[in-house]
Amino acid sequence: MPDQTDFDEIVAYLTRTTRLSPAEAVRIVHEILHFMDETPDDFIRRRHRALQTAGCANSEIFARITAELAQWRFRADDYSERQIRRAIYG
Amino acid sequence: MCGIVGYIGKRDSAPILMEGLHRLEYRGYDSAGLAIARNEKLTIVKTKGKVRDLERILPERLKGTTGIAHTRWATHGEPSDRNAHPHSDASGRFAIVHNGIIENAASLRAKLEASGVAFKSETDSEVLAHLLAAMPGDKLEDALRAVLRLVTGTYGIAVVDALRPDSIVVARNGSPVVLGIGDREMFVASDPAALVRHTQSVVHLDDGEIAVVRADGYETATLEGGPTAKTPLTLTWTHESFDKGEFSHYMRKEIAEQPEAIRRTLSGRLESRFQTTHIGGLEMAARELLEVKRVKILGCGSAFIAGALGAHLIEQLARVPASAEPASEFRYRNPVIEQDTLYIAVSQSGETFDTLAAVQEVKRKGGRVLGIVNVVGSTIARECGRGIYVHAGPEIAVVATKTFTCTVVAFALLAIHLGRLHDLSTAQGARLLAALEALPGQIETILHQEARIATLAQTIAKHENAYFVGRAAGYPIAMEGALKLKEISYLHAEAYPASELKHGPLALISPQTPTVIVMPRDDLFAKNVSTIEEIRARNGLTFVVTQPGDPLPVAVDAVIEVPKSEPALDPLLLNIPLQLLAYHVALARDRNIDQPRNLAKSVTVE
Repeated sequence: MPDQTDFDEIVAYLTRTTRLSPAEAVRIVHEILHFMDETPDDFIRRRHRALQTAGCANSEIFARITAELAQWRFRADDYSERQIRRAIYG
Repeated sequence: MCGIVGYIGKRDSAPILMEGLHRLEYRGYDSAGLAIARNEKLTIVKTKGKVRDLERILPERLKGTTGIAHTRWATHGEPSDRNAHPHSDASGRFAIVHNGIIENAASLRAKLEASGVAFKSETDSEVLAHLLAAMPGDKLEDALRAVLRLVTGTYGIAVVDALRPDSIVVARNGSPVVLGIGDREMFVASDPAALVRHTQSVVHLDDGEIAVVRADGYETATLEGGPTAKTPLTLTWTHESFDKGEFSHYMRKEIAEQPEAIRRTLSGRLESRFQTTHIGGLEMAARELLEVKRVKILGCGSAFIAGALGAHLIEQLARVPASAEPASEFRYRNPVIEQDTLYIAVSQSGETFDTLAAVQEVKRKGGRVLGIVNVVGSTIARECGRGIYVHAGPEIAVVATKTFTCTVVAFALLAIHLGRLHDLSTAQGARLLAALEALPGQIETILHQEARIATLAQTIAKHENAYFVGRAAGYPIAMEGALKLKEISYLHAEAYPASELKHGPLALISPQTPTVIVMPRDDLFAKNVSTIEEIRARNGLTFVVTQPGDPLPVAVDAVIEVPKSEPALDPLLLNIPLQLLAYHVALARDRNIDQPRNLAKSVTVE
C-alpha cells in the first residue's frame, strides 16, 4: 500500500468538492484503496466462498465472478523498469 | 456468596435440591440447608460446613415434591448450624431462604422480640420468616408483599408455606433470582448453574418483582401487584460445561480452556474486509462513538484489573483518554457523570453488587453505560442494555482466569473498533486482527511450558511474601498476577509499578521476598533491566516473564518466555504464565484452589 503522499491530487479534489477535511479525505482514500487491494486470485476465492455460503451453485457462481472480474479494479502486477519504458516509449 | 435452589413438580425435591446445591458450591459458602413441604409440615435440615456434610445428616426417606435450599456465606452472624438457612417462623409453617442484606433487620427484630417472638439465629434473614407469620390473610404472595414493604435492603428470597405446598413464592431486589421452566415442573435458583442440568429455558426476575411458581407455570408481578410480562431466555451453557473433566481443579481446566474461549469471544466479530471489528451488542452508531471524549471503566477485583488493561488498549489504539476505577469506590464518591464520557461496567457474573450500583448511579445521573459481561441475561447486562458478552463459558473456580483473558480480548475488540473510527490505519487494523486470531495458538504454546513454571512455583511457595512489578500495560498484569497468588495460595503478594519501586517498596526487598517482573520487549525494556539491577543489588530473587530476544543483559533467577504479539496485546500473553504460577504455588502449599477461604465467586452483597 503506497503512502498517501501519492494521492495528494484526489485528496485535494475531495477536500475542495465535498465536506471532508483533508484528514478525512486521506482516510477515505486509504480505506477504499485497502478495500480494493486484492489480487484477482484472492478476489475469486473470496467471492466463491461468499456465494457458496449464500447457497449458489458453481455454475451460477462462475458466471457471476466472471462478470464481477470485469468491473472490479485490481492492483497491477509488479512492473520491471523495462516494462515501464516500453509502456512509455513503445 | 449465598445461593438459592428451589423445586416444585412431580419428583421428590431433595435429590434435585442437593444436586443444585453442589452446583452452587463454586460460589463460596460456609453452611447449607434445605426445607421440604409435605403433609402440612416442613422438614428443615441444615448445618455448618459443606454440602456433603448436609448430605450426611439428611433423613434416609425425605419425601416431598416442593422444597427450597440454600448455601450461606456469612454476613450477619457466624457460620453455624443455627445461622444456616432455611429459617422458619415459630409455628414452623413458613420456611424462607434469603440472599442479600436486610439493612433494618435490627429494628424489625427489636419490634418482633418486644411482641414476644423468640429468635433462633443471629441472622438478618430470620426476621422475614417471623414477619410472614405475623401477616394476616391466606395468600403467601400477599403476605410476602406486605413483609417486603417493611424491609429496607437487598434480597433474593424463596418461601414455602407448609399449608400450601403447591407453590413457591420468590422475590427479588438487588440479588438475582432466576426461574427454570421444565416439563410440568419448575425450578428456582439464584444462579442458572443450579438448574442448567434440568432446563435451558429460564426467566430472570427484575428488581421489585415477585413470582408465584407452581409445577405447571409461574406468574410474575410487581410488589404493588401489577402483573409483569416475561420472555423466557434459552441458556447456551450445558451442564457438561460445569464438570471438571480430566482436570483435578476447575481453575486448571479453565486455564486450559482459554484458547477455545478466546475463539468464542472473537467469533463473528472480526471484520477482515475492513480491518476492523464488529460488535453487534454495542448498539452505538459511529457518530455517537465519535462523540465520546473519555472512557471510564468500572469493575471489581479481576474485572477492575481487566478494565485497567482495557483502558490502556483504548488509549493506545483509539487515542481516547481512558481509565479504570474500582466500582466499589466509584459508587460511593458522588462521581461527576459527564455526557461525553462512555462508562463501561465489567463483571464476569453480571451480578456484582458494587458494579451494578455503579451502573445505576451512572444511569441515574444521565450517563451512558455499556456492559462487558460473561453471563448472558445477567442483571448488569440487562441494566446496561448494550455491551459485549465475552462468551468465555461458565467459570466455576472462584478466581478468574479465562474470563479475565476474554474480557481483555473484548476490550481489544472495542479498542480496535474505536481506533478505526478515529485514526487507526487499515494496516494497523489488519495487523491487530491477525494478532487476535493468533492468540489461541500462542496461549497453547505457553501452556506447554507448565512443567517449568511448576518448578519455579516450588521456589516461590517457600516464601511468605512476593512482589510483582511491571510498567505501563505490564503493571495491570503484575496486579493480576499478585491477586491470583494471594487469592489461592494465601501468600502475601503485592503489585507495584516498577517505576515506583525505589519510592518505598525497595526497603522490603531481601532474599526472602522474590519479585516477579513483567517485562515485554518494548521501549521500557531497558528501564525494567535497571529495576532488576536494583532488586539484585539487595539480594532479591528475580523471576522474569518476557519475550524471546537477545539474552537479558542482567543475571536473573529464572526467565519464562511467551510469544510476541502486537505490542498492545502482549500483556494478555504475559499474564498466562502468572496464572499457572499461582496455580502451582497453591498446589505446592496444599490450598483449596477452587474455593479459597473467605472468598466468593460472585459478590452480590456490598
